Amino acid sequence: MVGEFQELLVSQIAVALFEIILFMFSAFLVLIPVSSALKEEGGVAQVELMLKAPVRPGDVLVGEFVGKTPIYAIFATLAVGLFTALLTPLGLSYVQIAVIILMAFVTCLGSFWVGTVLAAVARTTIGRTAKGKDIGKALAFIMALPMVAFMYAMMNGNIFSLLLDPGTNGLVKTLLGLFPSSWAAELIVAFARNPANIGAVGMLTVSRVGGMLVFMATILAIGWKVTDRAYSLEPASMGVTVVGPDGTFFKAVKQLGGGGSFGSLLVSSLKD
Amino acid sequence: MNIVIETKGLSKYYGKGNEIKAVDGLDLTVYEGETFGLLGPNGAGKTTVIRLLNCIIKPSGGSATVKGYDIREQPDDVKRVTGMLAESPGLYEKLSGYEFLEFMGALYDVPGDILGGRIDELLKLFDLDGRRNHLIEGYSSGMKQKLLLAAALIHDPPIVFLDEPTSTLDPRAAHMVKELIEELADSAGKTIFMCSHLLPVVEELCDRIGIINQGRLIAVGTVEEIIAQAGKETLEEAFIALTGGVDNGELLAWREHNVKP
Repeated sequence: MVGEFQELLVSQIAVALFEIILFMFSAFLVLIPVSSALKEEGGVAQVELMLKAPVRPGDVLVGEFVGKTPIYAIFATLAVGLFTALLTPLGLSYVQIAVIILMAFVTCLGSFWVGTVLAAVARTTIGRTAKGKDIGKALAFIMALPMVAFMYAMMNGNIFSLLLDPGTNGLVKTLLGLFPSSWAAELIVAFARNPANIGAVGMLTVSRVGGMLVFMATILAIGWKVTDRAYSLEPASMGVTVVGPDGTFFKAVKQLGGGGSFGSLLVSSLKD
Repeated sequence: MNIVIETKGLSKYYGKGNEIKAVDGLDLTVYEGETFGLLGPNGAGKTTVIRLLNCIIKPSGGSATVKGYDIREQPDDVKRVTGMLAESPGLYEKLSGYEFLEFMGALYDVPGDILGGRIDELLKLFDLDGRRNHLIEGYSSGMKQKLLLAAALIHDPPIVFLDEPTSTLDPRAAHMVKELIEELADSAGKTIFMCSHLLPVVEELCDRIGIINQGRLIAVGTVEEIIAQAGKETLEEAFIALTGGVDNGELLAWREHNVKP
């Protein structure tokens, strides 16, 4: 297995593949808190509980982030542990392993921080509307689709065929290269190709680690700055969702259900 | 009598061009030690007034002081002298009653050396001592409401805001909460500012009431004064006359049009 993994790491698809994996991992860490915040009942009431006390919104944000970090840190530790276990037989130096661990943790924590801030904003804005709750449900469903598609593509080898195509490979690297998760992916592959020789990829290491730390500092600052808005009970919208009479589709469903009480129940369940 | 809450033209507008006037030019005075009830139909602006006076939201216009602190300039000071029971209060259901009060005490910076003793007192006062280590998720709605009332008192504030304190409770729990509110006003000398749309609750507990409708305060006084102002015989009749009710004849008019004989 180690041999196959080593072959994969030196192949031309390695960077793109790791970029996809880490991007999906990061996207999950951003979207899970947002989806939970939109679906949860009583979240806004808990915000009110905080706001009525002399507590700064920034403290609430940091409290939420630090409080939930251990749960996500467990997954991050498992992922990092798996990577390092697979990379160690390649002869990576301790410094290289330490840099990979640092990059992986900063990627995870950064993504989760962004997710926590977005969740706080979503909870007190669209989360207070019926439409927001629907978006939360849809998000939980949509989130799972790319992961399932990726796993199927991995299982039948389609992903490898796709990434072997230079056009697709380049497109993936160009698109995902904008995201910090890709910087970690690039370093993992670069270290695997140059075990125990960090000097060979010195510039890449400095630029990617430096970039990641600057990114982390920036998102921390932005998150801190928007806390007043994120934890605010000022109404974001007084809009009410208005629906028209049932169209052809729902009328047809009702007729299919016999047109009576069962048909009405069917339509109600479908709308819900 | 000392004034503890004073608002002058306090307003809160929402929407594009401020077309929704949740609170509009509220002039109100509440005195120390009294139980004041803000009465109004659903959506009248009661909760908005409480949130404004607790500095949870910011006013669009006007001014207000709570215990002498300006709600715009000194929000932290205002929050330290007020306790609040929200209409839809958030509870951390995976905490025990004791842990929840400990958490609330920490939010209000209650010193650690007195917090434990105060929690013990409140749990005994609210008859929750036997369930102090039970998770809140196992509490009945009455017990939750008592716990939230205890949480509102954890920092021993002189002013307590109660937003619909009994509206979701069964008659037994509502009676118990009403007794507690009376006790707070009479024995502990707290100033109570209560919002409700339940006339008997307000009538029973409040020294003075204000009636708010569509964001505007339309009457203030004792129950007797309000009834006299409206020229009616009961508070219910006065309330409907002041806020505008539905003509009895219209109530079942739909049957005459739609129900076949």
